[in-house]
Amino acid sequence: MATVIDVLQDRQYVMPSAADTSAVTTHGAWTWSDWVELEASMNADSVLTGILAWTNMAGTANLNTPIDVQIGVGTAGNETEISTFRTHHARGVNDPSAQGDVFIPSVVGIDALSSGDRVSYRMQWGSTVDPVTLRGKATYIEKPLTGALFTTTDPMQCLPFGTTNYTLTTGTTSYVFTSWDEIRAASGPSMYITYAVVHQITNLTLMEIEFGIGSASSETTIYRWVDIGGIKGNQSGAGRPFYNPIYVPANARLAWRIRCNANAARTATLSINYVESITNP
Amino acid sequence: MSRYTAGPTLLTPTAAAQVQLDVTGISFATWGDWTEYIASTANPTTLLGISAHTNGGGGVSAEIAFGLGAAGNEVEIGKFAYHIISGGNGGPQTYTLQVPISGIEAGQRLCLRQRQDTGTGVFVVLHYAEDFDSDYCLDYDVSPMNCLPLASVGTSLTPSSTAWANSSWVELTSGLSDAIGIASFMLGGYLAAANDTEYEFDIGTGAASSETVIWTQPGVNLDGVTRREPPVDALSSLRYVPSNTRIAVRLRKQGTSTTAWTFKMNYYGPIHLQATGTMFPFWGDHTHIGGGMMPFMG
Repeated sequence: MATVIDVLQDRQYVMPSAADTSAVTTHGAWTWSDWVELEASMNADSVLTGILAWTNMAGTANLNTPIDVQIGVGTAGNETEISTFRTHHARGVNDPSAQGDVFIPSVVGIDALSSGDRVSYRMQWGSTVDPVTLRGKATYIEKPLTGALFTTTDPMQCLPFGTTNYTLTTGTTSYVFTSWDEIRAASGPSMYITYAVVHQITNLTLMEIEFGIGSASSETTIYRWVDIGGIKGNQSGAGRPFYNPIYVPANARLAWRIRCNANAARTATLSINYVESITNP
Repeated sequence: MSRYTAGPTLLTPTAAAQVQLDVTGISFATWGDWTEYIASTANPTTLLGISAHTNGGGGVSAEIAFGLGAAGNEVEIGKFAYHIISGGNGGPQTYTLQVPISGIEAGQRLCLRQRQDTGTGVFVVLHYAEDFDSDYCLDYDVSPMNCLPLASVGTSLTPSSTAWANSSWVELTSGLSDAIGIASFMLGGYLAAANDTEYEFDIGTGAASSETVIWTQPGVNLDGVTRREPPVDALSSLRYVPSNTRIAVRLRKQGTSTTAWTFKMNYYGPIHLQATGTMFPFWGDHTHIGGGMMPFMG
């Protein structure tokens, strides 16, 4: 039984608002774009609640690449990162519009924006197609909060960061799990996983994904979910927010594994967003 | 207890083909039959969400309902609007409940059903947990999940012909008898003229012509023809709206197209606000636990 939860009574704002997304231009694979301003000066101390990231480039090639989106504060040339989100771009031949995630809710609000802050963002991605225009916005709620919001003063982080996703390939028998693949070794602070993107490239493949903790060969499953591949392939970038973030204890080894419905090898890649603490868990 | 979870979470079916919800003769006017997912819950059960696809069929605007009860006597315990993207186009196809649905005791038969606009088959995997270790959830018989408008693809929104100019406000409800917590939005329909269009919509409360914006949500409609637009735009936490409060929506976007968009909203209610210093939790009149079920609205 659960009958008491927190609820927001505050307005969410967008930056920039009532205007096209701010555009950044890539500088090659896993090289940061320049910082581009989202807001010249915040009106009040605020909590970052999400990002929007996408591109409308022509679909002349199959592009499947993670994108790191970094939010920063500071004057031009002096930006300091306050959070990094990872999303995924997937676009197929003759499908210029197909891609995965666009808006990513932060789930845990990032309590790191101060009144007067200049807010900017930059992106990097894994494709060698260059230059490409990527586009972004961000959402926030001004403080003081009237209602209650799940927040942290730590940055949003992602794994992996600045490199290709974790990758697993199933065997050729349906519903047989792969071996566990390590995401984090058994060291480090606690983690609260808020978002995961699984990308797979085969039509309608029903992929079960598990997170597990524990030493190698002794992993215990803590979370299982499903991703379904797009029929044309290459377009799935199915992100899943975890509104009840997945807790990984400090110094716990974190791993993942997959199985699918096909009697054929199927490949999936994974990335996660997480924070290391929650102010009001 | 806390909002986060250390698991484990479960799926049904698992290691097996997805279950197709009954689609015979359905429309928004006619629900499909209930499809059994769990014959008898082994432990207290909490619903976390679904993954769905149309097996290569087109996109679907649907309402997905959960039910409990013996065959032929199922009672709806909650429902939500969901945009199932065309099977050809991938993208997010999992709807994670912003607040899990709890209060399902052991020994319950759990079913799903749908109503929708196209009659296309929908295949669903249910995400759930037993003895869920988080108390960030709401009992079905206290604050059930619902959507509005009911039984349609949504409220029609006609955009301005000027880029990024607001549409008129369109009323979603003149006021619900209970206070609610807004969970997510579903913006869609067949938006043939609006591919790759960035948009924002405002949720406002108050009398006509005196609306106050309480939430602004950005997004991108990637391709309305085949429904690649996001199935939902979700809030990180529920947004409280008092009872008997008029709720309206308006849209602004890139471009000059005035092709109408559609809009639906998922919410939980009734909720009751309790002021406890800086925290504003809510609770319901928990008049019933387990056994039978209270009839569901809508």
